[in-house]
Amino acid sequence: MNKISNQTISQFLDNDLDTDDALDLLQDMHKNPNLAETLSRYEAVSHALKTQEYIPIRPDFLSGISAQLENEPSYFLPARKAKPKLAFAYNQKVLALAASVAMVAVLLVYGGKQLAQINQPAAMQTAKVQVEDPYPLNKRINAYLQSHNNSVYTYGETNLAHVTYHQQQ
Amino acid sequence: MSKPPETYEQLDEELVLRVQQGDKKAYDLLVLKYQHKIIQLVNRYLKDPSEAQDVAQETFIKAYRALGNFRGESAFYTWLYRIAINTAKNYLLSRSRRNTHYEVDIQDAEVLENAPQLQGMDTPEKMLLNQDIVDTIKSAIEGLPEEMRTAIMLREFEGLSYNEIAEAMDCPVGTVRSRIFRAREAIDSQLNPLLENGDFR
Repeated sequence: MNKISNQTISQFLDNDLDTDDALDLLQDMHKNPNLAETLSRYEAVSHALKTQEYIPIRPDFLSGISAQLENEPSYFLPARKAKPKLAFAYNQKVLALAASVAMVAVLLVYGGKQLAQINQPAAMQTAKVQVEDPYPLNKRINAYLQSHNNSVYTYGETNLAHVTYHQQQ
Repeated sequence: MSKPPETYEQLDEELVLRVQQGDKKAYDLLVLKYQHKIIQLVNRYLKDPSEAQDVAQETFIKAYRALGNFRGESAFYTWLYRIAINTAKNYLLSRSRRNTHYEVDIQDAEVLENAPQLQGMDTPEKMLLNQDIVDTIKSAIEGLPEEMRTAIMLREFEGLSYNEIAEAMDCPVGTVRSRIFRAREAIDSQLNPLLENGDFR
């Protein structure tokens, strides 16, 4: 077990562990000072090989810092925005799909109504046109003219078009 | 000092986030991870391993106090190194003021970095012990089997990754891991008696 742990420490020193394993190892070292001391010796040897200077770490190095930080306030900062992860991408896909389905549904309903209108009998369409007559005043004028002199007051670009009285005669 | 790989930067981010959310133990893990690197860095300025440890401790305490403002614009270790360098320079300045018998015209800490008369506070005994340790490490490496010696030297002196060493030595990466680890264990076992007798622990 100890041998396995020491090999893991060796790998940690050489940046050969993934994030989770490195975190596990650090937590183990925090609980077990012997593991931390092994890392310290490996690091000191590595440094001595390059600089001819062996610098061991005092055994109370970490505890000295922890003791001083005990009286410091803890941070309680709000969590930073997480980077987009797989779950977020998945949610985006679901939302996009739902939006597409909703759009298709709206188009189907709207298109269906249009189709129904086209298929309505002509009489109904006429009736509807009569209801929405944009020129109600013209109609009244026509009725008045026809009842008096058989002239017709038409719609359209030209304001007046006379169907002459003598033509009808 | 080699740059930590991206995976360890992710680890730093995770630990920093935990500290910022009130987990002080997570900061201990950051200290464990960087303590030796910071001591080495500070010692380059101070040339005194004992004082370097005091200044390194101060660095970690300052960093904790400033961590609330750390927003991850730079990597944590570069941010920490910057604090360490500033702390070391400030310490050098204050040390120069204390040591008034050294009559040197010091403009700032940059000059002090290259002032050997203010550095190298090791006792002769410590220097001798250091030399013994370095000699023991060298002889331990020379006594290693060829494959182990090559693997540890490629790692320590050339800075090659395990994959690069595996390619250079034409063997699996797992073998490289094992050889480097066994080399370290062999050096450690030869060094242990010296460290126990030398008041290095």
